[in-house]
Amino acid sequence: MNEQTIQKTQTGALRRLTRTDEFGVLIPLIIIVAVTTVLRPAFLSVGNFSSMFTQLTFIALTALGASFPLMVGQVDISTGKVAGFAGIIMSSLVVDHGMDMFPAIVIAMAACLAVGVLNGVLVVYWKIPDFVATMGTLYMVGGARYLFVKGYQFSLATQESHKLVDVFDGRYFGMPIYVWIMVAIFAIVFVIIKKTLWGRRLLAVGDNREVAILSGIHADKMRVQAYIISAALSAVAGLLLTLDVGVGLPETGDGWEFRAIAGCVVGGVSLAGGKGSPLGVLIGISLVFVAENAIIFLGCPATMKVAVQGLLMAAAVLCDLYRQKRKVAA
Amino acid sequence: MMRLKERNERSGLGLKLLLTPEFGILIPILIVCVITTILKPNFLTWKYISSILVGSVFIGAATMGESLVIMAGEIDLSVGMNGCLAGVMCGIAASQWGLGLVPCVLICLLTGAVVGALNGVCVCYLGLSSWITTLATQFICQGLAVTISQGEPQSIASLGLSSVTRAKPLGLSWLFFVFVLLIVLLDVLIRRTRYGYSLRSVGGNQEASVMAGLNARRIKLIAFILAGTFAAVGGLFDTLNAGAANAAFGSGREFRAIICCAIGGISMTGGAGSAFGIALGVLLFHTLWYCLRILDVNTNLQLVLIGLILVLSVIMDIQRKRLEARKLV
Repeated sequence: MNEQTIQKTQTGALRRLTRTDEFGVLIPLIIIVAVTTVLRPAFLSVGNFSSMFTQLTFIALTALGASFPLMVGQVDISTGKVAGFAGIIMSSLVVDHGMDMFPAIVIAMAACLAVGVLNGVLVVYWKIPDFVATMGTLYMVGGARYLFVKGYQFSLATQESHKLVDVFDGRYFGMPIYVWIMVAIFAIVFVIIKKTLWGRRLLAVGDNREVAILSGIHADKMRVQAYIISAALSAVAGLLLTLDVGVGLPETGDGWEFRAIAGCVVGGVSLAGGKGSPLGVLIGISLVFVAENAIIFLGCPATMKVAVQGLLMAAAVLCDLYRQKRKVAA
Repeated sequence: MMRLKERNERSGLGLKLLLTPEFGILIPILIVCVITTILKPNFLTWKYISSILVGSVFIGAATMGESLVIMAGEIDLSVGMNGCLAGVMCGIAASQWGLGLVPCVLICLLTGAVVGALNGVCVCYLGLSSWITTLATQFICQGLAVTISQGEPQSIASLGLSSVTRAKPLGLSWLFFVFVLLIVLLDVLIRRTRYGYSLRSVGGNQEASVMAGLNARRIKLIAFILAGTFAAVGGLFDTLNAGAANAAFGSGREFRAIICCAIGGISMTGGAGSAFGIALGVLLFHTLWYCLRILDVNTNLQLVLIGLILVLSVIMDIQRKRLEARKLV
């Protein structure tokens, strides 16, 4: 009798696990890894996976940022350019103006937060359609990045700031420091979204804005905050990449915005808003990277990489739609 | 009293004129031209003007398609890459399959229409959101175009069209006249046909038009198919102009097309727009682009300005709607 109940709760836990949104993303990831490994055993090597994991750090952070507006039912396509903006401002301040590293980082973050506020104000208070408004900032920030560029490279390594660059060259527990920073940020955001009142309110606004407003949530404020967080996390991603490379490049972050959104969508962030988890985003962006890597291992032409991204995204959205319909029916 | 009323009406008329999308665009075009002429006196010569007119057909074709989708209240991010894929298919048909002119053009337009239909089915019948669907097809088209062409230009010399595409009737190009013809056709489609009316009403208020008995899904599907076809026309223009199809054509064109629509008074929330506005929007965008280049403005500053103009024109559109609503109340 007792054993039976234990068994029951165990299967209950298992069932609950299989029903979470993250689990649904994990299955295709495992399938892709398994199929590619069977066909090309070299795929499943520690070297390949650790290099993939270090590469995806920056886009994963951008995707985490982009998931916030998506969770409240909006979209931000300026994230990639904001990442480049942060990196170039910081390196320009350090190299051109002889500033210390930390004030430079603070100023770069502040500039990017301002972009986030601008996005939020344009979309929420001026009621410009989200896609068009963030496209406007995409152009503005994208062009502004290059205005800092001078005729020479912003090499951070030659400055007295090299201590921080050295920290980024080292490895800790087998991974560069930015991977651990990313893991820490994901853990913090996970707790915020899943365990705090603010996180639940954010999802509530995305799920049904009117109901959220009626229950006393400042929906407009939450929506602006989502845009600010999106810009902030993208800026962190850009700063980390710039510190890692040691050179400030204006083209940092080009094309990240749509890969980030692809990662979010694959990771179960609903485009209708109200659903999403940082763990899902991490798995989703890993899936995008693993799939890209796998098709190269399988000998497909590398030019099909973009097309595979598109297919993955479409498939993920279709799955999401199917799941939502089933939930409503149940 | 009478005079006051008259003046009120007159100022109302002036405001109305200023806020009509078509007229509102003419002013910035004039300002841009005047400034450029002051800074560069030989600007107002036919050489520059014809170059602007001919250069705007490529974005123009994509913008026409984009405008239909935006009028229907959706968005299409695949117009650039869809056109690119269609152009590449045309080039492949000419250079590798050795087909003649008509089949090549048909293959090109058909490719665009098929991609557009795919977009339409996903959005209207499967219920996917339009920007994510068309983003996915953008990626797919891009990948396919590069893979099919293997990154090499596909020459269309076998069609023997070089004498036609290089001809300069009236100092312009035949492509420009085709474009003007298409704009006129689009104007007829939007303003004079039943489809045009239903398209705008679906974009303006989908629920109301469904209740009024319109088949919103079919109307939107047709808009997406037309958008794909117009995108293919853009790709065809590129290919004809360059004499070869190249997988690098049309990148970023979807954004520029959306900006042209916003400038041209196509309401970003759907429901309003005219072919005349589209033509002027394209013209303003291209004139600005061209003048900034003539004046040697920093390329990156150009991007900043374009972003600003996009945001400003959408804000103007929103203000216009607000004024109209106030008048109704």
